[in-house]
Amino acid sequence: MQETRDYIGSQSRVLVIGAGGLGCELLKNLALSGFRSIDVIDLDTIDVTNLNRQFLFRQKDVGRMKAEVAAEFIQKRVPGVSVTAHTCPIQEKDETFYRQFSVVIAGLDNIKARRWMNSLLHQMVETDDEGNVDPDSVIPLIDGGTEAFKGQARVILPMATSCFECSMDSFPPQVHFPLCTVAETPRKPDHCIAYVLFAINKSLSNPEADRIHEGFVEKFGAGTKLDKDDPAHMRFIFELAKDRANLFHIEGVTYMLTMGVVKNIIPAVASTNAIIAGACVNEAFKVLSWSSQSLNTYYMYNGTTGVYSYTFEYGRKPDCPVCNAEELRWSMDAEETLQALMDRLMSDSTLQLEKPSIAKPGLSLYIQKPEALRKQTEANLSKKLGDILESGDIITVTDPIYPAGQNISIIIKLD
Amino acid sequence: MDEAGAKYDRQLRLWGSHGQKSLAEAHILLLKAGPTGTETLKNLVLPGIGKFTVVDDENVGEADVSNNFFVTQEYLGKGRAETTCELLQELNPDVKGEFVVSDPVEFVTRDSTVLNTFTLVIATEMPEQNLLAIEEALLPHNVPMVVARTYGFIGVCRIVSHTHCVIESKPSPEPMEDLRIADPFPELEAFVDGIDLAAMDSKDFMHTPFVVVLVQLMKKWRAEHDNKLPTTMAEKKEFKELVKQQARKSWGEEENLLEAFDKAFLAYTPKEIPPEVSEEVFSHPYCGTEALPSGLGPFNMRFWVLARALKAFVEDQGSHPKLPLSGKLPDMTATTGMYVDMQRIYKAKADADANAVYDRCLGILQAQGLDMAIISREDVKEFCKNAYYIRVTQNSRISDEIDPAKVNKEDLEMAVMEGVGDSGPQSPLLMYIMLRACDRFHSKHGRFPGQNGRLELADSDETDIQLLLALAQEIGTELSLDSPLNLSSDHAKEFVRYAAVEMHNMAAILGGIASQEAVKLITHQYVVLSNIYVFNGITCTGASFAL
Repeated sequence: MQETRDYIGSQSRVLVIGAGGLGCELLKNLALSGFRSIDVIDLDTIDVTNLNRQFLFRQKDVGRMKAEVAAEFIQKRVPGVSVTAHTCPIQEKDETFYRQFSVVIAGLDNIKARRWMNSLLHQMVETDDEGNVDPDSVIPLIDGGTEAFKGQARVILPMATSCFECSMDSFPPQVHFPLCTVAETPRKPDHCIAYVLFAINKSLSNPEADRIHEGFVEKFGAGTKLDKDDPAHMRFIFELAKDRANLFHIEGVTYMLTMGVVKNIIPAVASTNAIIAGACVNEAFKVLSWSSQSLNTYYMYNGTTGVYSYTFEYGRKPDCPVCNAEELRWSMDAEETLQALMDRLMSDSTLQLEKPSIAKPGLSLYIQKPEALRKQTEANLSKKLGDILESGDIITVTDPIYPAGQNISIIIKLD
Repeated sequence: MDEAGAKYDRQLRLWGSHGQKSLAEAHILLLKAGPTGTETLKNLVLPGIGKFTVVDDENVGEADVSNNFFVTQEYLGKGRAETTCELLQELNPDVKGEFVVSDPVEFVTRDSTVLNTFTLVIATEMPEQNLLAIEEALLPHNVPMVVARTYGFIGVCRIVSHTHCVIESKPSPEPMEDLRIADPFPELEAFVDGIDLAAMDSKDFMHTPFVVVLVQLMKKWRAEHDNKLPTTMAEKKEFKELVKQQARKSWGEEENLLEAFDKAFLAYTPKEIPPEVSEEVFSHPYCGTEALPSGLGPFNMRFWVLARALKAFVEDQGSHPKLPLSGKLPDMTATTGMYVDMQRIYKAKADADANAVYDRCLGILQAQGLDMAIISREDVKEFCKNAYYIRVTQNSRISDEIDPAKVNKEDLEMAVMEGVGDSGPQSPLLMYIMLRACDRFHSKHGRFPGQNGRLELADSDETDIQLLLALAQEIGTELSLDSPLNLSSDHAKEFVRYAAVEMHNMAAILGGIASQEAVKLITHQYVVLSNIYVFNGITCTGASFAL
């Protein structure tokens, strides 16, 4: 095992994405498993609520960059290990940057960044003329995630196993409070908090909501955007939500609940992060040293009722837009508009897109960015598909959720 | 929010301020300060236990520096207990750390009165014989123990706890509340009777809670069916059709009716008292009439008085007993007014139930000669809110687990079958047998297999491999299993290669698992592991065994 450690120490450079609960554990485990050259990327600063699990940070570090403090701590505690901190969004780094690593381990709390990373690592895979994958271009992605007493770890070998995108439909789209319930028939304290939030963001407009918005402007100044990390802002929401709840005789608006609803807080504990980060580094160690078998491909742990874990092979999706070249096939009515196609793109649970743009070979149909192009193509939205496409045409969809160069091809069959 | 509230916010959302209080009052004893032990303790110091004591008799060596995060080069040669205590305490100023330089088994067996001061024991790096001695010493003191161990790519977590009581088991996903739709209480019935659906305009109609719709329809059904609930598939289908017929617009537009249709089963299936409560709690010896033993500890004492009161509440109801109402009403399509009114009715009934349980509590406290102040009205309310989810669990003793005459054969056979079918030679059960064989090797030879001071597999290891395999097969024979264990020399070779080495990374995983179980034991929330979890790091697979 010593030899393996030496090999890993001298030959491999590993990238850790996220220096939060999982990230701190990942860095410690890597440093004590023989990895000598580690990079960590995180754009976040340390908050007091991190301290119950992110053990590389202390009270005095609150406000500093997570990646920097984590790197300093590890280098001090484990001599001989070099940790390089990067404090920007992962999207700001390019292929040349990512090319330097033998493995990428993601300890993220959001799906968006994972999709981007997954997609980029797949784009970086090179194939020869016969379509054979060049193994040197494959960078394994090991992904961990936790919530309360539950977590999962998975190994993604680009173009060999299923990828993050293959499992998009297992993440239900985020639940939003229905606007009409919040506005007209609130029943739960959450509805009252959401009301104030909607009013401040101007997602709601009626005399009462407008009054709340004006109150916010008056207190914090015109043009001030809601800052979820500003206690004064949060207190404002809490007080007004309480007023609204009193009006409707609804009980249970507390400051803690207000924070939970506004920031969509997910409970997090040290123990679960330890289990999942440990499993991730185990896999990194094995994948680089070929010393053992690999996790195939998905491990889930649930400690809520007893201890239950399950390991299974997450299958590749034949029409995965990232790891499979096959086009999607959609049937649309020729009488439907381009807007209807947009709606379908936006509501598709396996794609979960943010701001899709559509083109067909040689022609932009609807492009959302830059604004000038959006204005130019906007008129197409009301056109009938039959007027702008032929049945069998392949449209190309791009979306900011993916790195540049990644697109989704859909063959549109018109009825 | 105060500072401590902010620091612990992400966990308070799981176990609440009362759970946090239990943690802050806990004193944890860690036996052996290797990486598995310190990683476990780290995950308990961070969330804010009150105090810990590290017991260890070794000095910091090169191996510690390379695999333990709470040891550094500067401490080489110093005591491991002192070093890890200092670096662990530095994690959280709220926590007090102590250390004792002693052999753990000696510490535990020398003066057993000291054991009463601990909430929980975490035992690491312990071969079987040592665990047996510690288990024996802890038994009279009712102190639970979490055992965590790593051995190469294999890890095991084991809980030893005699009777563990839980009020908030917090099943996930959250089960449907008891809404008494099939058997409405008088106040609910009166409320529902007062609503005239026929007279409503369509807007009010589509904002009538599904509970009201179902109670009314079931009343109608019963009037037409000899006061009986639907029982056959056909009848249930017919009842669901009745729900559909209420639609005034095209089906699907009225969300309250969709909810009523989805939850129609609530109208013909009265919620039963779960066997975990009616059998495991109510039939437990502590739930009888005899005096409760004094050494139970405050939480358990409260639990059993409350459980007896709950049992009396249930028994006094006659043929169709119910547990107290929780008073919680899930969100549903409704106007604010109607929802709030209904919530009040459920809440009032829950309060009345809780008061009835409280009265019985007072009677029991008095009869038992206990302090009346140990249970408050709030305690009773919380308990009643969780009446469906109270749990009593029992973990087997290690001495029974390793005794072929006493081990739970049924679970063992099941584990073997699953192991063979599921992951073949990598089955976590086989790893468990191999670990036991390593312990047997240790007690015979005074060292673990492969511990020869060399880095590479040596010729002498061949002997160890053969000896180890024979011991593993011996264990298999003793257990006299129906199906053979698929043990091969590859298994023995792998374990000889490990030479009882603790890899930091495996220690981190086991430390995570053990600390999560420790939190559950300390807070008396969630359900703890029963009894063993084996993690195989080669394939990243794991399984729980109730052996």
